Amino acid sequence: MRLRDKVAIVTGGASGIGRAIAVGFAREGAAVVVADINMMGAAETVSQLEAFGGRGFAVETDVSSKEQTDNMVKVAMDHFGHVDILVTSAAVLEEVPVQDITVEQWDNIIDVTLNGVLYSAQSAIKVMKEQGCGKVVIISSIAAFRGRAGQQAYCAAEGSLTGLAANLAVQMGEYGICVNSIAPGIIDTDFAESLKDNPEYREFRRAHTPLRRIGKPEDIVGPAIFLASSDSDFITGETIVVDGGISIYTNGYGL
Amino acid sequence: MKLEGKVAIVTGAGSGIGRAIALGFAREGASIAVADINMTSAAETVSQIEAYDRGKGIAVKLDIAKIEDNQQMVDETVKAFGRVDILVNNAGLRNQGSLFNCTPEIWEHAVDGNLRGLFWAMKAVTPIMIKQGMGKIINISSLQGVRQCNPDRTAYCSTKTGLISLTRAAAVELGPYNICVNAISPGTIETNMGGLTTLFTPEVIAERCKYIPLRYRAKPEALIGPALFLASDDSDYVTGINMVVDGGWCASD
Repeated sequence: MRLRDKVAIVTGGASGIGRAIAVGFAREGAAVVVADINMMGAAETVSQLEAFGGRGFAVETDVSSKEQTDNMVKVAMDHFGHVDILVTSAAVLEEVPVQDITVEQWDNIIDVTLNGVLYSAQSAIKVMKEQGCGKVVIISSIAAFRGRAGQQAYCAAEGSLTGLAANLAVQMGEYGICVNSIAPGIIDTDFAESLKDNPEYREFRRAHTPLRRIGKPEDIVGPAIFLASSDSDFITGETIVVDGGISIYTNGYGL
Repeated sequence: MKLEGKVAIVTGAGSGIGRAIALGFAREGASIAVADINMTSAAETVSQIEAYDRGKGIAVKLDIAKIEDNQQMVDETVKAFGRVDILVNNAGLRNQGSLFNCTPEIWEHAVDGNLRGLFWAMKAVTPIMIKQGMGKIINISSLQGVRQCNPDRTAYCSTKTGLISLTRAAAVELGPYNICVNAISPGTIETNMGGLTTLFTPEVIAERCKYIPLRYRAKPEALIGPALFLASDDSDYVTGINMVVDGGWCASD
């Protein structure tokens, strides 16, 4: 087991990619704090990992509040005494044409998807710095480098996360803290509304992906374990794209 | 074990990063074809592999610049082990050669060693991987294929960037056959590539480490985890990427 005795916090752990990572980490021996605004989903994630003897619990967290991310880390510390890994997976996605997006819609996406990552990292890094080690894995998106119509706030937030990961890596390297990001392509979850009830678009994406399939949440688990484990100890400030190759293949994204 | 029953070819596995990766894969259960121009050091890697008593090892003579050597390496591997799941194109060379002083020989030497040979290794292994319905190809490039560290290495840097581009092209072409092609770009690693050991005095190392966020120069073993990740099913949806393994150097301003 590659994460034996480690403690991990996974934001957005109540569904989709976050849930798959939380369950995958527990399988590798980590104790997992499932942080989410959706407590029903978070409880379901916990029961899934308990089903095979994994350890974890849920903490209600709105990552757009620094007080709540501080509390998330405090609760993890109270329970386990250390925090080795932070995975930020919480995000908000809404498609609105740029001429129609309201200030509230823009702020909501940026508050959770971008600011929420900074707050979560700030809260966790304080503890990691004292420990002298830590792994931060930021889940961003290939929307960081490819513009999909109607997703201006999401693309801006995800693009910023790549810069934030590099910046935090440079700042925290001397304390033994590695900060990296994973940029998934479209993954088949409820989050990817564009795939829903749209077989034509789904087929278009599949056909433009060199590996010829749409990603599953489980596809992100191996990369996340790698970046959370000692296998990646000399990697920091890096973004790993996990998209079956679609982002290097013509302009399959967003057509 | 993450590579139980798998067969890997690792080029340049007689020393440095290649040897570390070959041993790391063998510990995870893979059988390894150790390809190197230096058969004495290749044989030494094989004997270390066999000491684990897991997968088997064979030594294969490879002059990376020779097309026929690359084909023969793949043929010998198939003869010995019956398949090839993983190719690690690690062999390469480091040379000087600026825009001002580069001769045709220096330029061609770099292209032959860092680009041409690796292309033919990939070409030789592809039909086997297609038949198997899967494969993992890992090309070892360099941080200097991503950022320029030195003004006098035009030829070397050009070939290393070319290798990243070759990786993307092959990923798109081979994706439909479930073959993943990725690159790893190491930063500063403690090896003797191109006689580096003599250049790296303690003062030079200390100066360089100031620019590395993690503040150290890694041993070749730091590449085992990344190579294992890209060789195993943990990375089945990852293709066409270039993974920088440099302690954060590249991310710095």
